[in-house]
Amino acid sequence: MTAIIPALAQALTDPSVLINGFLIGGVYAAMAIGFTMIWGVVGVINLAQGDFLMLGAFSTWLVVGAISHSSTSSFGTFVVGLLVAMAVVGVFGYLVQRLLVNRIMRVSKFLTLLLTFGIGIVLRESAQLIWSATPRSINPQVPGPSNYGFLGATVPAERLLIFLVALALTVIFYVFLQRTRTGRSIRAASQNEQAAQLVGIDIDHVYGVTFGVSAAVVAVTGGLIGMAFSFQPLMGNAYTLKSFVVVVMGGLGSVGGALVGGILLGLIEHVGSNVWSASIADAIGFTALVVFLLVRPYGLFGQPEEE
Amino acid sequence: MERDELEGGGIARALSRSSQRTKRAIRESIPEPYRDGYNRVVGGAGTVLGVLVLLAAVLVLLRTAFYVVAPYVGMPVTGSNYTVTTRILQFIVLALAWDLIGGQTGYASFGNIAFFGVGVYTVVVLMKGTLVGTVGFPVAFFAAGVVALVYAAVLGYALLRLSGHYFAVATLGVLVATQQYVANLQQTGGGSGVTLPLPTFGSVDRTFFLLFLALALVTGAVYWYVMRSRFGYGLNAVRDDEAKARAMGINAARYKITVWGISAFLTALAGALFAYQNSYVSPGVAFNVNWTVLMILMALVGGIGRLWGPVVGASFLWALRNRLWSGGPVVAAVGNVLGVSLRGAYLVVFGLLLVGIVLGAPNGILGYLDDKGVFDAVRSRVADTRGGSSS
Repeated sequence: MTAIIPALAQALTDPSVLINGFLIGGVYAAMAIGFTMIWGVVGVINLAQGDFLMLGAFSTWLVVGAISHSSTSSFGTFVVGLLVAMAVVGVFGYLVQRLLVNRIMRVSKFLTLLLTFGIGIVLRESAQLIWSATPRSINPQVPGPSNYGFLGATVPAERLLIFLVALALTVIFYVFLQRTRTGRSIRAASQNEQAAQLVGIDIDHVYGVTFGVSAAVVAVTGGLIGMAFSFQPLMGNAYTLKSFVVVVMGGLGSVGGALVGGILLGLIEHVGSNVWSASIADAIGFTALVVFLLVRPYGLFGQPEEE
Repeated sequence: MERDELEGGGIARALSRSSQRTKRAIRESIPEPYRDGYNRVVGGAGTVLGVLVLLAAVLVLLRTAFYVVAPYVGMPVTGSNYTVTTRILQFIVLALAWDLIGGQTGYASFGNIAFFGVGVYTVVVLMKGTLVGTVGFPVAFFAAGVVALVYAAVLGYALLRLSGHYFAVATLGVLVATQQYVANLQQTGGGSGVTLPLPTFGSVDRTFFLLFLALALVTGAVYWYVMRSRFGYGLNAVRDDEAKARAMGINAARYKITVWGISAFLTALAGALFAYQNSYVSPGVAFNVNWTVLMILMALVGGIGRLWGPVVGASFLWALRNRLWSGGPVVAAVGNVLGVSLRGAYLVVFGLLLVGIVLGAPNGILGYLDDKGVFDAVRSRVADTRGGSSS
């Protein structure tokens, strides 16, 4: 126990630990945006969200593999892969909402949990049958140097790249919600379903689009994670859980909350991994959440609810 | 109606309304001339399928009963024959314990298998003597239940104050986090697993079969008692409308923590038996995410919120899983057509089943047959026969 405090102090003052944690936090934020939107707008916790992420990683990998000629693929093919993954998984998410979730979401929230849980199982087990459980990774040639020096820390180019893309996604998503007609419909629907219908918003379509856009964003995140780390069919559960931790920490239904919560989780996990071991990173994040819930059950930015 | 209120409770009725609404929507989407035929064919097919599943489950339960008495009537059962039945009994315990929190209280716990693992590893730590002195299995067995109970109470204090949504995902986190901690502790033997002392009593297979049977009966009795007690009605009130339940003076938080504790206690006892029976355990076996899927699906397929639901679901689904696992000509033929080995595909099948049941028959098989009036028909037929014979 006594060894932990100096180790903790060392991790907290090591710029490379903090910066890498911060960068991964950006990816967690992008991943959690979809989760928080579906939860906040549609009122459904999508337990298959992590499996959408897994599908995104596999879609990107398949496209990159199909269009590159050598074993090391160019950066362009990776971008194409991400875009295809975004489109395919986005459409899939839309269909999942319209064809399955929409049929029971107004009846029972309890059933939507079981339903999305079941969809997740089908996705991950099918993926395992088709592609086997082997962890894979996508290795495009990222332009520029392979490492960047930054405030006394060394940052791999992939991590910097995924952070920037994730940040861009977050900004695009925010602008989409604020500025576009569809985005405004989504916000209207989340504020008052009936009033939104009264002003002529096709509520089912809006819910479907929310699912679809969320799935598209999480699919891109999956592709990025597949490049910077690795991916395999059963990865989904851990990422659904991470999204949940991020959303609860940052507060429900807000893009800014996802950003802050994501970076917070990235830092906690990275510092924790350095003090203890990387194999309990998920447990550390979750334990932080339980402690957090005891202290602030309404999230970082939320207000205490009147009962 | 009165019976329905006693046995099914509010969620069953709410679910029944929902499934009827879905069915009505489907029916109304069918053009008028075909509607009658649809009702006859699809309605009839569903009932036939339901009855077949029910019969399969009853056969499994009859086999269990047969195994209990067989040695006394001069028909010894070989050890390996007990294996499947013992596992079914274990899942009856898990599914019933899940239904206490998931069905009776309406809080979907996706992490109940964490308590199974806690039970397994309490036995490991106590019997190996890695934390305190070595103790025998009977002490370790009850200690497993108590440890899980305390664990659930502490976690419940943090998690059950939140709405059902938060709780559901948080329980998934409990499972993942507990597994990771156990895999990284020295006292538990780490991620590669640990070997336990072998059972010292004779006829091991039959003894564990009887122990699991006893545990299943105890769990059933606890479930039955909870359902009919003031406590159980309180849980149903929390499930149907938590705000109203609180307004009526029910301490919702305490009710939820208590029932989750009971659920954890029973689940951990099953884990303790499993650990001693298996002799070798690892974090992957003790905290098996697939078993979480199974126990929820079992309760759901049979019918959540009713005593016989999880029992029927566990009997049918574990038998089905074994059929898919071990193969056979039919399974192999279907696998050939699809181009995959169905041996590893049983979870895909079960995932599809989960989706299908939620959308098509959220009350489970028993609820579906009940809605169709099958049980009423049987009951009145029986009553007629009795009336006829007495007159």
